[in-house]
Amino acid sequence: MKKVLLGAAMFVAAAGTALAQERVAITPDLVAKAQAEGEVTLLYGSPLITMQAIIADFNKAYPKIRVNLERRSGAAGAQSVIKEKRAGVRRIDVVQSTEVESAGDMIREGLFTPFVPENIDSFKPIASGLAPHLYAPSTIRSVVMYNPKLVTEAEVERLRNWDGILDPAFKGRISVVEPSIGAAAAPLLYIMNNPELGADFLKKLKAQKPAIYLNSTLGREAVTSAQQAISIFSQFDSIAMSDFVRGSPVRFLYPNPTVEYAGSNWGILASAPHPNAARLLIAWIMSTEGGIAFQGPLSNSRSTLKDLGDTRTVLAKLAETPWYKEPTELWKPDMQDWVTNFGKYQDTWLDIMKRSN
Amino acid sequence: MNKAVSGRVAQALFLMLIFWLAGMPVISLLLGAVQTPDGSSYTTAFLQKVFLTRDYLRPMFSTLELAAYVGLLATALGCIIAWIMSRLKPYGGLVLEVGIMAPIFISPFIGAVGWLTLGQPNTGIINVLLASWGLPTVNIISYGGTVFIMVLFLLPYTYTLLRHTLDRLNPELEEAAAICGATQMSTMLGVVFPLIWPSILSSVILMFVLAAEMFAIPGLTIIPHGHELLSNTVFERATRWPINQSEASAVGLILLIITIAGMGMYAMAVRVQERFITVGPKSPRAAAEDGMSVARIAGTVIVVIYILCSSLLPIFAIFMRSMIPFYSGEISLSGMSFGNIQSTLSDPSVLDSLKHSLIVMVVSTLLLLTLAFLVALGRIRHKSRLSTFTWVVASIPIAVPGVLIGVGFLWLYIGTPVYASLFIIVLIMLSRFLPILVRLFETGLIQLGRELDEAAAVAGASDMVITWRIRLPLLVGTIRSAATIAMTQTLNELSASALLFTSATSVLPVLIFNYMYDGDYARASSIALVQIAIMATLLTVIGLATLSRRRKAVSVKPMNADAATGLPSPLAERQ
Repeated sequence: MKKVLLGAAMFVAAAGTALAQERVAITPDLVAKAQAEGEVTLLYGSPLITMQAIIADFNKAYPKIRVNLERRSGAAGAQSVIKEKRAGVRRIDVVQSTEVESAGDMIREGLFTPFVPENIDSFKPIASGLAPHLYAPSTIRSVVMYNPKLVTEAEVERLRNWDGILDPAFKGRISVVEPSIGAAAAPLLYIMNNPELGADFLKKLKAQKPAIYLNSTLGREAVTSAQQAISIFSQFDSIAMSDFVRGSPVRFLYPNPTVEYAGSNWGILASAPHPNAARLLIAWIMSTEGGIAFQGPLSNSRSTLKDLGDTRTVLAKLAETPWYKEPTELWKPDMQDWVTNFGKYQDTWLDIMKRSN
Repeated sequence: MNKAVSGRVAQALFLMLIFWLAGMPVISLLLGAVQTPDGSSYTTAFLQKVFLTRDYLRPMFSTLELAAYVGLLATALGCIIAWIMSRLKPYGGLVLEVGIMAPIFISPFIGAVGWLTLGQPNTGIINVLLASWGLPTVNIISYGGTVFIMVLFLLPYTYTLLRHTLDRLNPELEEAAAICGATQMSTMLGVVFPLIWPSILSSVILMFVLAAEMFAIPGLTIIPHGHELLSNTVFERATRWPINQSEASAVGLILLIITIAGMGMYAMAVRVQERFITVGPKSPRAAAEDGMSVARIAGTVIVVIYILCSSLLPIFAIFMRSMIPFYSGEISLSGMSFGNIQSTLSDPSVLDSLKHSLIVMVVSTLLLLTLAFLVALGRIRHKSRLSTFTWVVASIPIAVPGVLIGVGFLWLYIGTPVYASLFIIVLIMLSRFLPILVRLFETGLIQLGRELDEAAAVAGASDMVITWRIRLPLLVGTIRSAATIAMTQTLNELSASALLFTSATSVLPVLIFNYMYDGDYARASSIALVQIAIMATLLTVIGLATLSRRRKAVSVKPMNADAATGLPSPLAERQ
């Protein structure tokens, strides 16, 4: 019930009070104040090298502001700031959350300063799913990863449909990831919201005897090292593209429809000890320069800015391969449903996939 | 204040210190288990769920089963290797000693990644070779494989415990049996085993407890394939959405109960062990080398195979992983690069974490050695209710999963100046590794007969002087072992540090974990190699210092080098 109320409150707040929120923009005054503060501490969940590259771009523009990077992914990061808030510790300025579920917990705790980026109209609606607390400057899309040595071309075609994975030929060759991380949560939302899939689909999937990994990386590693042929419902294109650039032998495909979601949500903590530097960082993240940084070669996610073209250099390389195909249809999760009902969906998943062992 | 009263006051103050370091995090866990997840009120719901329903029966029995296999096998193999090293005196003794202890340089998680690279089906390096020779392959991603890896990485601890005991056992007993016509096997079973069984029991219990707490290795091998263990359940509840640290604490209580039962049995075993004091004013003669005997050659081969499996092969695999971005079973020299290692050495975040790790290692090791010695001394030499209680309190954290120790510290220190400082990481190390070091000093002190202390006391020496002039010189080997274990463990600790690090206090294992979490195994392996190199350097320095001390001692007193250098240890030199 609490979560239902939270979900409703979030969207009322987003829709009704957006104009009343503090507007955040890069101004000479903000820059001067941020430089006087001199530092900002960012708690984040994205891969290390991705965030280091983005912050390196920020520091090119603002070299006098040191960004203290603290990587604590997902729920562990959220738990840490919630506990700090309850204990009155003021240490973190900005949070980048890769999980909507735990972002919901932080919003419920009243951790964030509500705000509106000055250029919010330049963004696609998907950027404001958790507004006015957090904003998503980029999106990612779910993919199916497979080892081309273990999966035939005909099988690849079957995997393009969601129920293709139920083909008996895939029994014992699949790995999934527990939906306690964002990347595994978004596809579960599609499954549970599709009447043709739902719990019945999960039961059939369980009959395929998948290996269940605790995170996407272990699932990916299992496919790379040929322990498993396929990793489903937990992989996403930005990481797949970065791996491709680094020479991974693994391939990926977009199932139809492809789930696209905001995998990187940014907010300013109400208790930020460096409030101006925090605002400057967020304003830059939401700028065109920030959007380009998100599309950089170590990030490969897709900016949510309407007018920014796809500048990812990896696409040209992928286009040269015989196997890469762009998605044909996109499905975007309802953020209210995600925040409100995900616990229920996760329980269903665990009951079927794990607790029934 | 008379001497007895001041002694009791000192013991009470020391108990308070140990209680604060090791007891309070566990107390805060107990409180956590009866709190609602948001900490706003108290509830017994999680205790009821854990102890009165069947929800956790399966992981509990799986944990007990796995820990029992690992405890028994690690002790059996450790006993064999300790006996070989003590009695057969294999070739290359000092090198082999270092090799046997080498797995403790490597965190179990990194070691498991190394063994997966070696032994996973289809693409494991060993399997690729075996398949190319037409031989059957192995599968390390199995229950047996998991036990195998855990035994390899726990064996140095059991070896440490048993080697001490065997070295103190006078070989004249075995020689007498041989003169009476007993075979080596019947001497082993009829003479050696009855004398060392309390140490064997201690080892089984300790390994059982450590195995029950370990989650990194099974987490990579059998958990994805349907097995459930308490340690993994605790980790999931404490770190993954929806986080429920109260339920995690309640589950952790099962492990705590197992530990308390184990420590009770251990205490009984130690009481029995005290009957076998073997170092008095007259030290036992060391076993003689046995020339070129078949047994000596076979012993050398067995130890070399263990070293190969436990450290050389996994380190080789980690080295390979650092040279290639992805491992898919195909290795081409053209695809290899030292780039990751080079970039690791110039990465500011690595250098910062390295600096923090070294500070934590040095400070923690010094404090751990001091505290562990004092706890063990109280337990063995100044027996009282206070010292026994201090020993019990210091032992409690041994099987509380590291992640729960981290949760306990978080509850305890958040909001204080200690939180978010490097000091809290040091405190974690003291809490987590004090039990292991106390065991080591305890074993060492048990072997010292009271006659030495009593003779010094009669001659007017104070307890401080006895410790400084007699106990510590005789415990040099134990101190070396304890320092080695403390340094390696504090450099490798991850599960509690991962909850409490900040941008200003990150340590190497956290950085390695983060790169692993990102799938950047090459970079993670490069940092792990740096960590291993640091430990190898330290251990080499200790080994060389040992050798130099040995040579000096031999030149001073060639007739009884053992007595001159004090107690042997796993790192101690050959006689």
